[in-house]
Amino acid sequence: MTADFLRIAADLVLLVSAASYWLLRDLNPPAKF
Amino acid sequence: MYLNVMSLDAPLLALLWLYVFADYWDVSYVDPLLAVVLPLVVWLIYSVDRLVDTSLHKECEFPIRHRFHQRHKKIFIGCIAVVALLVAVLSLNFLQWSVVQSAMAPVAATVGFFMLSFFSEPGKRVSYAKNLMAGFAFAWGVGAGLVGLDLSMNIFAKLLSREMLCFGLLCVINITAVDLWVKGSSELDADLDEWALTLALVVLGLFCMLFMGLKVRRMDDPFYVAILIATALMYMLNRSR
Repeated sequence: MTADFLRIAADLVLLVSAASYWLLRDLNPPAKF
Repeated sequence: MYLNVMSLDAPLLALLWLYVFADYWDVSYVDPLLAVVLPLVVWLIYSVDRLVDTSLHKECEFPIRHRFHQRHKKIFIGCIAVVALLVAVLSLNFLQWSVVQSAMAPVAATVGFFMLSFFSEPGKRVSYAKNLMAGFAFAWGVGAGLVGLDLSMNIFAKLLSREMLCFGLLCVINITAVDLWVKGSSELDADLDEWALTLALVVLGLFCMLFMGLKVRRMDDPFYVAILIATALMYMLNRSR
């Protein structure tokens, strides 16, 4: 894989991680709700 | 690709994680001005870093984003001056003073990062100290503004909280991984570089599991599961690159 593609892939990891937070939060709302 | 080349990827990620932390820390109101100033500051730091890199180490071969900054140096310097002025005006006149005060921790980490950049040897391929500063400057930058908005939070407790340490470690691993994949380290060979990264990812994964099991007492805590997902993705990238 090229260097620039790897950099974009590393950015995408943080993006997917943040997106999965919102998804999981909606699927399993905290007990206070 | 364009976002990466123009240094817009990190500001957008900072904004995204600002809202993740706001939700996780129960910050009821996020000042829209903070959501404007934070990406501007992140863009400023990334752009300056790329221009400094290309000016200090002229003999090195740089990736496309650095070459883009060098090619359009004058435009970037102009934009940096305008954004710096805008950030100064917004921060000193409109942003809550507590937010500006709480930003001192990430500012200190950023200053440390630039000091290391200025004094690092040009031939050195991966600087772990520099990446540590950069990772935590980014993570604390995301969290510090929120602490300033909610005065009931203790800044030291929040910036050294379990979730912030996990996110900071993820950012450090992310930055170091790219360096290792592209340049390799001076100290280790390619196999050991891969193992060094794997070990860091395993430690982060273990911390997340421990915090979920022992502290949050919820094995489906969305924050730690999201960090675990990032850890798994980084592991897969590390193996398949």
